[in-house]
Amino acid sequence: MSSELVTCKDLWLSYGTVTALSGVNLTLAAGRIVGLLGPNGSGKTTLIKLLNGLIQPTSGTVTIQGLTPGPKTKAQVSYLPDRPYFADWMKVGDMLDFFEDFYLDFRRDKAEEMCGRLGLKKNVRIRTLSKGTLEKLQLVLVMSRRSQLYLLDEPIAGVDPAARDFILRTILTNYNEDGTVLLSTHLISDVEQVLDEVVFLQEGHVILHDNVDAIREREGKSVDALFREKFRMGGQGGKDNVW
Amino acid sequence: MFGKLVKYELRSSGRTLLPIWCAVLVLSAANAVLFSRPSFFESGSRIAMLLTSILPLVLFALWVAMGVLTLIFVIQRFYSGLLKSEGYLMFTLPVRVSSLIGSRLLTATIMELAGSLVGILGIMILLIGQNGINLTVNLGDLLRAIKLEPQAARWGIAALVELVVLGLLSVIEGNLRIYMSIALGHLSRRRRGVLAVGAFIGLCIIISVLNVWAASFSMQILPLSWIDWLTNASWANYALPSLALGLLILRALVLCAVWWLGTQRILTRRLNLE
Repeated sequence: MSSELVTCKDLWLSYGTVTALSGVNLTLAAGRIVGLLGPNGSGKTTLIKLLNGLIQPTSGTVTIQGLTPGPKTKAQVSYLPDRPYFADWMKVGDMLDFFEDFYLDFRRDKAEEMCGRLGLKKNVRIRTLSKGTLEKLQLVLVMSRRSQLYLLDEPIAGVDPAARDFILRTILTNYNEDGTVLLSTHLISDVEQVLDEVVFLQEGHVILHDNVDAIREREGKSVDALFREKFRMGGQGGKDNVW
Repeated sequence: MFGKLVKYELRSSGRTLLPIWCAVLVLSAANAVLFSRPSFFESGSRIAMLLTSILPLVLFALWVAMGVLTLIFVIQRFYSGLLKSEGYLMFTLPVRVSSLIGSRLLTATIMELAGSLVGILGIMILLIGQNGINLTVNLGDLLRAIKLEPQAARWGIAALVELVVLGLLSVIEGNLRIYMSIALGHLSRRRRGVLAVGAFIGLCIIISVLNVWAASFSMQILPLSWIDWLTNASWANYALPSLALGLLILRALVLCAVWWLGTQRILTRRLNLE
């Protein structure tokens, strides 16, 4: 088996006349926490959907542990989308059953413990939960899996600071350390301290992929400061501003 | 995994349809009891007048609601369950796209057949209540008739079996046609619902045109002598219905295959959740 967990080779994706990803080449190793950073519309969600097999590339290849996204890779990937995906007829307990039924790596005891800490009872109907609680429940389910790859799409967007702390703590204390966490966000200051490496996306191009420590050493500034600098200039420099 | 998908689909649909099935059966029984006592509604009391005018209407409304709800359920479980937010969960499960479509199809077909069964049971309850139906079959008479006309019986049984198969295939084909229309609507980024309805109408028109074309084409290519032989053969009276049903089954199978493959291809290659 390849030591590379994720490999994207010359990945292109177009929606009609709009190009979302333009020749992305990216390799991610196992056991890393990676920030997928970029402004809105830079292609973060598109890249995550491609890794999940939710969309197909226009050209190029994407593999996870050497396999094209499909049932085998999906058994290894734990995905948190940027929206709730529950069926409203279900109760919290039904969702625990559902994950236990479909994912062999689901740790029910862990999920129940976290639900208990959140005060979520099994017989509560999902449609009665608030948006914030739904997001937390979804995170609990996703992080209760012992996956090789966690794809977390904007997990801290639009939540209050307390919820943000809960989310980051849940991610850090529950992910499989042999696996990789790919976390997309544009709120870098909140996640910078937990990242091992970052990928900067701009208009569908990877403009930077490096270790966080190496960036700080080379640039003499935080990743957040660098991000602000580059993407403030992004409107002028655009995709030609490649490092 | 397929069984687990079906399990959750059945639970989801049962929640919606089970109460209305129970209501249809209970109201059928209430109507049967009411109309089996002529003295009650001939009494002219206000309650009797009210019940005899309202209960049949409510039962009729429930029958219509059951049909409409089942159709909505078929559409909603595919559209909302796969192509809206729930799709983010379903399409990231470690299952094949064919399993996702198949589980929806199997559940929808089961629900439609169960709904039909409830409808038939409701009618039977009404008729039994009025002593207007004799459900017993004289087996002896039936066996004697089979012995007397063995060839006709053979073809008759074949036609009956074919009729059941055709009925089942028609239900499946209808569901798959709906799925195909929704999948075609999904190819657009906007107004997917409207386009799905348009696609359904378009598919129905195409099938009608193809039916007419196939009928006229077959009449042109079949030698006249064949048609003479087919219609004048001694067994023709018995066999022709069975042969015609066989052709309709073949047609339904072809349509099912086309809709299935089309839907599967779109959901595999062109999936684009909102």
